[in-house]
Amino acid sequence: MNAAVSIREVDIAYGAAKVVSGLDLDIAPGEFIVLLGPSGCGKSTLLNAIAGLTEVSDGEIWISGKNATWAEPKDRGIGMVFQSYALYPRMSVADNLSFGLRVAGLPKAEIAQRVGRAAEILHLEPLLKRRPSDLSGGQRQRVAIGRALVRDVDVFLFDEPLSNLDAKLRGELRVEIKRLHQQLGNTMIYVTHDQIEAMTLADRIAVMRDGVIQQLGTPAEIYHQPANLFVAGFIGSPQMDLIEGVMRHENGRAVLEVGSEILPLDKLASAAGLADGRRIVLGVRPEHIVPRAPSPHAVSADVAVVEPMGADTVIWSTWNGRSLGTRVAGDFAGRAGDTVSLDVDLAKASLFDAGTGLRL
Amino acid sequence: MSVAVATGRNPRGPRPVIVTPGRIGLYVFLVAAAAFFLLPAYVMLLTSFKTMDEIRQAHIFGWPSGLDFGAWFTAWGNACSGQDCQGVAVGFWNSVKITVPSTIISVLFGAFNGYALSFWRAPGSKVLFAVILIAGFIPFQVFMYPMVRALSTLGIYNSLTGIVAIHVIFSVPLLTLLFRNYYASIPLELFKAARVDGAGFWRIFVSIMLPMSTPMLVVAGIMQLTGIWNDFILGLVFAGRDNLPMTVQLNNIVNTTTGERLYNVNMAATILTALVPLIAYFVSGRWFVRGITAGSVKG
Repeated sequence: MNAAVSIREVDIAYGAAKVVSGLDLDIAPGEFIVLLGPSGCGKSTLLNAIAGLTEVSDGEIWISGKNATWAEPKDRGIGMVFQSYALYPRMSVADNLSFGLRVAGLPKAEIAQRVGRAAEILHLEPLLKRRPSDLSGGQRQRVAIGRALVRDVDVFLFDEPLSNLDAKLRGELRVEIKRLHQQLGNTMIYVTHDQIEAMTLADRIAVMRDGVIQQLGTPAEIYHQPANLFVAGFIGSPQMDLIEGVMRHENGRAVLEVGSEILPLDKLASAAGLADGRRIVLGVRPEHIVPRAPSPHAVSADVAVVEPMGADTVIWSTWNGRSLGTRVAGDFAGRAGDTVSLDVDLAKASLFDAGTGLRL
Repeated sequence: MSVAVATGRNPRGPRPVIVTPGRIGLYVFLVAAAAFFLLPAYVMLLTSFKTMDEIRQAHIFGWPSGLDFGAWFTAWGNACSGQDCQGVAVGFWNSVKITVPSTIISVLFGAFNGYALSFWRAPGSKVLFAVILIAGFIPFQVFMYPMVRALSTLGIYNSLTGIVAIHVIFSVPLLTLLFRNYYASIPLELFKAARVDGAGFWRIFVSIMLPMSTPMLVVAGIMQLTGIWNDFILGLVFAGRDNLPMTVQLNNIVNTTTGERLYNVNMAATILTALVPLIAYFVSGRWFVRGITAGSVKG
């Protein structure tokens, strides 16, 4: 096993409350992995456990080939970046960067060299003499990243590092973090509740809920083949359209019966072999529902709300008593009250069992 | 905030009336309250500059005929309590010797306690904090006799070490509470970051937490300085004859029953004794307010 970080059957409990139970996760060297989930799902707790700031109640944590389950944070070969930056307010930027190295008792020449390198990579040279209070949010977060950088570690841990920043800055720093990862090639574990950050940064995403990993996969897998209804609903904005119905066969063709309407499922490979009468949920991404000229196969819906977003427009329409989100080109000219003809691209749709919520 | 520019483009519309009966009443009350406290101080200051002959004329608010500093020099160097005619000077230096180490040690000790209790959640730390708090509510007079016995067993009763130890011990509950609450407002992530950086228990306290505590250190320092300087009973009981603080010596001088009562000397001695806390407040008022509101706004 040559994983950079390996989490084996880990339980984390606060008193009687189990936050994480029986969690396994192997992270390859140089991989950028994102732990994604709603607040309270245990992702930050897991990250703190990897850092050694929270004790695990059972299981093992291996970092760079060593069992680090009982190791002190400083001995784990990790650097951590926090949401609130957590810069030492009474120290200059340079002192913030070098604090860990000074604690470790490194020679002055080496400290200067490492701080210089980190400052160069993160463009912090003009700021070295300043106090954290004199810096902008983006600059502070770069210093926080620099503090992890100077430690020369194998694994970087990020705990929602961008959520205190405004939208524009968040976008810029996201790109900077991705560039940093490509430049350094370290293993990075990144906790966020922002799916855009997860999709754009990750090599693999672990979607978590209630301390359990729901799906571990590349961003494309997570987006296009969600493992269950939770992942399908959590990833994607606007949300995936979920249409519940009953499986039927008409003239040998598989169809989904939704109230009084019928949707053909014969283009959907996973629909083959499903028994008649089984309750299933059809999941379709909003961009896979497109307006087209009226035809017998098209679905006819009433437009309720139009949300122009510039590059594209989201239409919320009512079909068969339920709301359907559709992502169309930005030049869509329809208005609320219009009737549109929608074509569902079933080849790209997903099917879930209505009872278990699992992908079929 | 928009600033009115003096080019005629001023805010328009009727101004709200600022002088209301309520306002006037408020200021009358404030002036009366200030006078209530200032008047005795005023009388003290006047009397200290008068000669005994002037005082006997009993014009208590009347101005002295001239600035006579004689009473001040007597109070400082020659005022008598019983047989002993050394003024309050000896007491002053005793108080300095008691107050300086007591203040520094107790404030650092309180900061240390607060730090340990807020960031290192050792098993039982909550119970310990509760016990410290409860102890803080018990009147210290209750502990006095047991403490005398304890200190004399340790061999430091009636000594400078003894009185400093007593001041430090009795200030633990309040200072621990103050610093614990102050540190509770510091984000836990800062502490975590320092741990990832490899800093241990003492390093985090000395390098990270203490430098961040300046406002609280100043407030606690002033509280302790004035409290310990003004202390009477602990100094009387625990300090021993050679280390009696200024307050005790002042009392001895003022309450001397033999001979003529030198009101001007008594007033001067009292002002001299009160001078140190007064100066401390004037010099550090800015910090005091800042410390009280510290933590209410994240800086």
